[in-house]
Amino acid sequence: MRMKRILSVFRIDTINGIRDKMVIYILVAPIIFSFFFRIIAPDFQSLSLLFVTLRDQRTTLESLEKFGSVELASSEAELKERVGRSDDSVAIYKEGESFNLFLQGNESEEIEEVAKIILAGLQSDNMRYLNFKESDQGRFVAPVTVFGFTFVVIISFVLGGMVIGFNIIEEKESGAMRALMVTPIKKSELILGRSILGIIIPLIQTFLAVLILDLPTMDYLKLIIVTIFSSVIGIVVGFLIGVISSSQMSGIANMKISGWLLLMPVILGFILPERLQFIFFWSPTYWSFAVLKDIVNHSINWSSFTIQILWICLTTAILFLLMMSRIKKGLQTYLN
Amino acid sequence: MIQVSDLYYSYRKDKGFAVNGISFEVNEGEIFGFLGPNGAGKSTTQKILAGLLPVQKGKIRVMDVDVSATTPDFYNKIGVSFENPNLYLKLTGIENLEYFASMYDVPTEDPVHLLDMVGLKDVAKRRAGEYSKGMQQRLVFARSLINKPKVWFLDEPVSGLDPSTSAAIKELIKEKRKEGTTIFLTTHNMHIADELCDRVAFIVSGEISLIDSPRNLKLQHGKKLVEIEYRANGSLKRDSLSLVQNADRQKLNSLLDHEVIETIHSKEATLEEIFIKVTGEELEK
Ligand SMILES: Nc1ncnc2c1ncn2[C@@H]1O[C@H](COP(=O)(O)OP(=O)(O)O)[C@@H](O)[C@H]1O
Ligand SMILES: [Mg+2]
Repeated sequence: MRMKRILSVFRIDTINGIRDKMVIYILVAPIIFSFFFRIIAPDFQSLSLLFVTLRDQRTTLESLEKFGSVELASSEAELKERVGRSDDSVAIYKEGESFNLFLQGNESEEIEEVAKIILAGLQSDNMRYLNFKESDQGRFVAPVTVFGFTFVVIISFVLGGMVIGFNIIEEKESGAMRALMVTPIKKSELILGRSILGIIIPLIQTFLAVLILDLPTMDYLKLIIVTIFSSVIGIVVGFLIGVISSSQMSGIANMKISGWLLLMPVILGFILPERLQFIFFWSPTYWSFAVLKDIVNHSINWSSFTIQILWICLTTAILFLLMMSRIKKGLQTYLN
Repeated sequence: MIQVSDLYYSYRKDKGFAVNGISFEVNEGEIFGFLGPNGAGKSTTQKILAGLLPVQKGKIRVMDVDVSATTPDFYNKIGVSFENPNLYLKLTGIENLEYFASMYDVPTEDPVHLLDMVGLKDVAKRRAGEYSKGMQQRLVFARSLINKPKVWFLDEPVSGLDPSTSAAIKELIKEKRKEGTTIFLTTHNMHIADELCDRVAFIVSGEISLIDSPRNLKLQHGKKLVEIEYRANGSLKRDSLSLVQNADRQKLNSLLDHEVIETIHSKEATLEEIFIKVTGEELEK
């Protein structure tokens, strides 16, 4: 195994990609999606929130003050009476170990949404959620933004694989592969070098999505880890498409099919209720989606994170084993 | 340097052989040519020798390495030039060479020097996709020299090139032989075989019909010939006749006696004529 050759393959694939219009379109797509989701996301910042809490709950008061103005009530009865008035006020108070949310029922959807997110933040042990820096004051991640972010990150895995697939197809079509096969490069070096792009592209696009969607601070280490592990399925599918497609045209057709297979669990996972989600347990992108969602919502600890990552690995491994014979067969003709 | 015995190859699971039981040896430092028409099995043989196609049946040793079990080090020592240009079309000429140079564990040639040798220095920074077919072919040729190979495989090295480029490439091949490179070369052009090869094998339909040096072949088969053009029944006819074979001599005499002769000149037998005589096939179909 020689690092020189691995990096060389990576370098050339990158240059080849940059000079390919199709690849450029592929790489720009997630950025456009990010802007789209940024635009359609409701701007919670513009909401003027009015909270009511109990006078003796100092910590609750301090937490809520970060998000809007807070009125104090002496008793639960007064609190409920206050919420019942005509303005959109929301009561949040602590009862024993847990927090209660009290709504009148006629608040705007956005306010209700925000109230629930804050409640979730207070309730989870993850106090980081409430420790926003000054600049992050009063910032909430709307569900559409969470969806947009996970969607963009997951298409970046698929697109990273597509770039790999396109490079392979082109090498096959030009016959350059054959020339490479009479050099000392090993198959493993070629595969590794070629895979780097499938990891780098999602990492860059995830980073851009965070910037464009203007997401508040989150656990970047977990985000990077889940991005790297999730890229593997994109790489595997990219290699499969590359070796089974005889031309760019059939490559595009195969990419459409596999792209939808990988994205469907994400889209439906958002829509379907929790109890039906088991039907996507086979899909690595479903598990990536689940982790990403929780990372954005600041509601995942290391142990459940690790378990979800193991799920990603397991499902990727299973799908890889299923595809392996096709890939091997394809590689043979690809090499000849 | 190369030993091949009883080599068969079929693209279609034993239905018809592209290579049909050939055996030959290439000595160190010689240019060994495979001469035969299109579809004879030349490229297939080269691909098997270079390890690009599996050895289905037969034994091949190149530099004492069994080709069915090659190691990366084997590829450090061989160079392969292909019949059809197979380049990274979005990379420039120089990038193509640099990329391949980075694959080797042995000292490599300077890409600029190689491009200069094949007359592509001026277009080094243009993409290979913008090159003409001839330029692409020269780049593929140059690429095959990047690792200073000990054994060099050339598939139709000058076919489709203009005469002056072709002459330059031929000079390069001769130079490499002087440096001691062993060269396996395929061609359907008898002039190439005649000019470059120390020994040639005639190959048709996957079978070798003879192996010898062009000089020996011409000594053995190259009886004096006469090319004659004459008018018979109002139309112009053309014939080549041997000066030693009786039937031909009689025909020549009768032509001289009875027909109107337009042109007549004696001529050495060419490799192509010997090829036709031996194999019953023409080189250009
Ligand atoms: N990839 C292939 N699949 C099937 N048949 C092939 C393939 N390549 C070559 N052939 C056939 O094998 C025979 C030998 O071809 P080839 O070795 O390319 O001949 P040459 O190089 O002498 O022109 C031909 O009949 C050709 O049609
Ligand atoms: Mg050929």
